[in-house]
Amino acid sequence: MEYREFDFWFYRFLNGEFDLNFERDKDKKIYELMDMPLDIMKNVVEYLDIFDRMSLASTNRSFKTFVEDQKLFHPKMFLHVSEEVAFIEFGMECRFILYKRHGNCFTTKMQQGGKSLRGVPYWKQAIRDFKKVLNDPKFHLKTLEIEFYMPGLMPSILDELVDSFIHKARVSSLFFRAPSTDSLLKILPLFQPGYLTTIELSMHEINGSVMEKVIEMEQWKHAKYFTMTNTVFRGSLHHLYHFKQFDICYQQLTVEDVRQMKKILSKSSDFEKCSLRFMNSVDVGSIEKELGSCIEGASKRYQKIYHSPILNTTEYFEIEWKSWTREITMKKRKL
Amino acid sequence: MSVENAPVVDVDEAAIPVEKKMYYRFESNDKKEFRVSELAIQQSETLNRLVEAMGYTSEDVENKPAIAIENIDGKTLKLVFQWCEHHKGEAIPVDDGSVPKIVEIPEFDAKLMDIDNGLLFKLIWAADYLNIVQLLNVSCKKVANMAQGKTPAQLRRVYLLPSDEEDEAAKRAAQEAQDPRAREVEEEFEERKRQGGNSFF
Repeated sequence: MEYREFDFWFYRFLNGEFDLNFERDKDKKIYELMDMPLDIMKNVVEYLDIFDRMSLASTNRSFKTFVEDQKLFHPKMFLHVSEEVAFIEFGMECRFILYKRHGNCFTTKMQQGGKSLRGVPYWKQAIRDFKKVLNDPKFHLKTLEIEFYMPGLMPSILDELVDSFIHKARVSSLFFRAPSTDSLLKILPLFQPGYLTTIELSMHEINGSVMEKVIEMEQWKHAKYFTMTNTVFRGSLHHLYHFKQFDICYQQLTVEDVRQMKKILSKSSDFEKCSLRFMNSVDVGSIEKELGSCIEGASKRYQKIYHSPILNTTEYFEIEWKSWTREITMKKRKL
Repeated sequence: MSVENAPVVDVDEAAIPVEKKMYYRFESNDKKEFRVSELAIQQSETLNRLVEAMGYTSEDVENKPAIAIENIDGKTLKLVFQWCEHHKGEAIPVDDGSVPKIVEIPEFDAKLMDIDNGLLFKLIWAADYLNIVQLLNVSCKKVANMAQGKTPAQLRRVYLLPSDEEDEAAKRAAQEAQDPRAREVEEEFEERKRQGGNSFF
């Protein structure tokens, strides 16, 4: 039985109409998706995820053209490249592509099966497939995680990634894990400034001269949230004051740093919160004097809360100071 | 409230609160009449503008003929007005395309749309014509849900989509219907190619 026939009888039975001798009007107009005006088809396609769209695009050429022309919002993607293996995850259950080295060839594995390929290294094929998705001008991604653990091959991986990357990718949050910051100079320019709001970096080595170039990038200047883990942020704190929130590990905090932070951040309309941890010991007594009034009831011996009003406004800083672990958290609050 | 009992066609006048509410009268293309509250009409940008422009008083509504909606039938219009009555007073969503659209289908809407595909497509068309943003959203979402997890072959069956071959055959048929000589010319061209000629001319 054809689907349309089944659909017709299913709804007749559902509505309590059990007359099997009912003469169906075969000439009655049957509505098809392709009969719909384009704006309605666009509305329908908008609710389909990337895989359902790929299936729909494979139904026929007209649909392929139409579907590929629609904006696509995707929640999450994860690219991992390391020795012997690489994978792309799509943030959905059982949706991934795995690339594995087997001697001179490599295999790919995905939900519907896999294949064995020769001639291209497994990591290169992973990067090429990743680029195909990310470089689509209609593709909008909320969260992208990139993880590279192949220090010896980093230059080749980055060259492959950057090669023929035509459009700035629309990615809202980038979580980037790599051995060193050097790769940032090639990674960050791939993203559309302004659309990229969150940058989270996890690196073991930080190169001061690279960071000097990074802070000049539009992607850095327009981002709103910044987190750096596993290493100490090198550079002036001034380069962080445009963020709404930042969370870093810093070499050492001085009294002058605290004064400057309070002065500049009190004028920022965007600033919400920052957290800093320090490597070297600090002059606890002098810094505490700069933090404001200690809220005795809310404070413990090594974890004190200070309130510091911002002049001519109804706002104040709430500062949590953990002298033992050398951490300071500043939040802007309203009275 | 069940879908069947939604207050669209039969309005209990006694149940109308003291504050006088206006109920407009509409007529479908198969001459079925509906009474719809002013607040429910606000869900439809098209109808809302229409009644605003007409500036009817309560007496006008009763004395003048029902407002004709000529390209929607009674069965579809009943669903549309049931939806509008159920969702009256709700904010109309604005979509600027900058963020992903998140639409959940409420239980009432799901029951309302438990209909065959033909009627569902008519409902979508009506929602588009009457510019009822949220009804269009939920009905399109329902159509989209039919595609979830389906293979291309399954999608062709569900949405009645032609394959490339069928699409091309349909185009050829349409072309031939317009120009019966086209087929003959094509056959002649194929024959010449078989005989070794490269050019048709």
